[in-house]
Amino acid sequence: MIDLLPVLLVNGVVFGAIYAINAIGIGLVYNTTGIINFAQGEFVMLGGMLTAFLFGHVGLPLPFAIIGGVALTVVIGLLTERLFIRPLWRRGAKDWTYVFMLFAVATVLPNLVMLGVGRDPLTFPAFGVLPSVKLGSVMLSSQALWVLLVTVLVFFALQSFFDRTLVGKAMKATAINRRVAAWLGVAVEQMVAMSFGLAALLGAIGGVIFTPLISTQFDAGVSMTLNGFAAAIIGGMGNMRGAIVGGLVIGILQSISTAFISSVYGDAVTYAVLFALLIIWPHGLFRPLIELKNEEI
Amino acid sequence: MSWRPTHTQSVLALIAVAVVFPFFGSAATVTVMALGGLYAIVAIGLNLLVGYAGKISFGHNAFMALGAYVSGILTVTYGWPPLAAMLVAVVGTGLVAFLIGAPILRVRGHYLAMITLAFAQIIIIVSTRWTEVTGGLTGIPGVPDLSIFGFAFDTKLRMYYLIWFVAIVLFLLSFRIVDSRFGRALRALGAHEAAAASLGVDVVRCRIQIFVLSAVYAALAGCLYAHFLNYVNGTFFDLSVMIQLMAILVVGGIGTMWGPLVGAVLLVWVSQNLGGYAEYSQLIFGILYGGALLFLPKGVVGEITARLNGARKAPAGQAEPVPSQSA
Repeated sequence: MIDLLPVLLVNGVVFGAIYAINAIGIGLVYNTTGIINFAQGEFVMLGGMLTAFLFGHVGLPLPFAIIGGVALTVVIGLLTERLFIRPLWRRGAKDWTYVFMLFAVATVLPNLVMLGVGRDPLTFPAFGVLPSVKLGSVMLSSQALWVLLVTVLVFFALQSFFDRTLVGKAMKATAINRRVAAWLGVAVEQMVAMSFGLAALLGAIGGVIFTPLISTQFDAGVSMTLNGFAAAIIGGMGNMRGAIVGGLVIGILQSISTAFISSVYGDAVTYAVLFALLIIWPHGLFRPLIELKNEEI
Repeated sequence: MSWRPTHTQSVLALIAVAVVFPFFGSAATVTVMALGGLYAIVAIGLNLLVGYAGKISFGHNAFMALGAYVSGILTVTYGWPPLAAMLVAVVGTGLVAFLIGAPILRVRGHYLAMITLAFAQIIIIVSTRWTEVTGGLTGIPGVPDLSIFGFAFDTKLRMYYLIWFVAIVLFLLSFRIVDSRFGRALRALGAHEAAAASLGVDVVRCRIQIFVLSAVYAALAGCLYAHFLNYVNGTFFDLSVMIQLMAILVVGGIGTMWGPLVGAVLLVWVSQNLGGYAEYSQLIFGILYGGALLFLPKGVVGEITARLNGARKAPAGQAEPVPSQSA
């Protein structure tokens, strides 16, 4: 069994990358709104499913299908905010209302996908172009390389977005103190919309790079949300570097636990690990970007 | 409309309707309303958690499952008497809820929602795959009828009365809870946590107590479910059940006392009459409660109470009806 370890580690890192992307998405929405986005995993599912649909059923060439799938997912993310979150926000609804609402979104989206696209798992071909790499005794497939590459690119792109652009800085300001940001002229509502759009973009990118590896299905979102959340907690909510570490921790734990403990129970093992982690370290291993702030949303 | 029923009148009317209903309903509708009573039991507890303590659980379907499976396994596999099995199931589930709630409810924010969702996923997966103990996908058939002090609840009608008896007792108990010292502390912390804490409310302790209480209600409903259908199966308690529970809360009216009852009766009736659309039940309930959050934020009961209050107060010259918190 022990000679399997390098393979499991590499697999864990590749899976961890998608959880990290998800954790960043959850953190973005959490920072600007204080809401835990229960629909984050659905964006991953939508990115994969819509791209697969555009490629397989509509017959678009892969690059266009990918652009279409990602764009549609972002539109859905923006609509989610505009139609379901903003009215509650303007009404001054209690904070549990948002969680309920996002859970409703996370219920309706997969069911709509099931109706429109079907129950079957879908996939599309690997992107190619990049070679597969041999790391010691482990073969890293071309698509796995894409996953790692895109994750790193996303990380640096987001970092410079938050550090260099005015919009990014405004979002960060909103995260640190919403009221003061509003006084200083930040359009807070737009920042919230943007955080949902960005979260959907991240989710969709995650779904697109990941689907060629294991295919995706209408009900794949819940486990993506849970694993992403676990990664976000470990990494400290909204802490991007922490999210990467958290994602890797969850990915590797999952890969090793399913191999060594049991594969019958599949996700249950990961959830149990998640569960234990949250109970032992509810505050995570890293500091959140913002220490939990004012409760009112 | 100036007349408004008093609390006693409303409760008496409820009891009368519950007692008389089987004389008019068919056997099938009695079964449906018994299910409605089971959902009401869970919703009453969940309403205390969400509506009064302001915390969310997405795992109450799993607490129902725990109650049902422990009852089923102890009575069928080990031949325990149902009442003893029920006691172990309910107390055991309460203990599990305590172990989850105690660390998590110390943390602010909605971590409880996420961890209970993970817990529910674990329970569902384990219950359908741990074949030696839970019977896997086949479940546990042959759960015996419940009998209390020699009286056997061996017909659906008898179970209907038992279930609604429990539901109404818990319903009345929740008035006592909400109006007790504990309940006032609970409402205070739901309204403003920091203010409640500074007034001496032990916020964490309160939350843990209410979470455990609501889990116990769910476990009790799960036990009754097992004895009602004489059968336990993991698919009875999957995510759709949680979605239905949330729809019950929101449509009925979160934070109102009558909301869970009204919501449970309404939505269980809807879910049993979907006919060919049963496949879309998750979609329908998701849209239903998402829509209710947007357009009917106080739920059916909250809306009716507000109208009645408005109608009563309008002549006295009060422009803004203030919806009563404990309605």
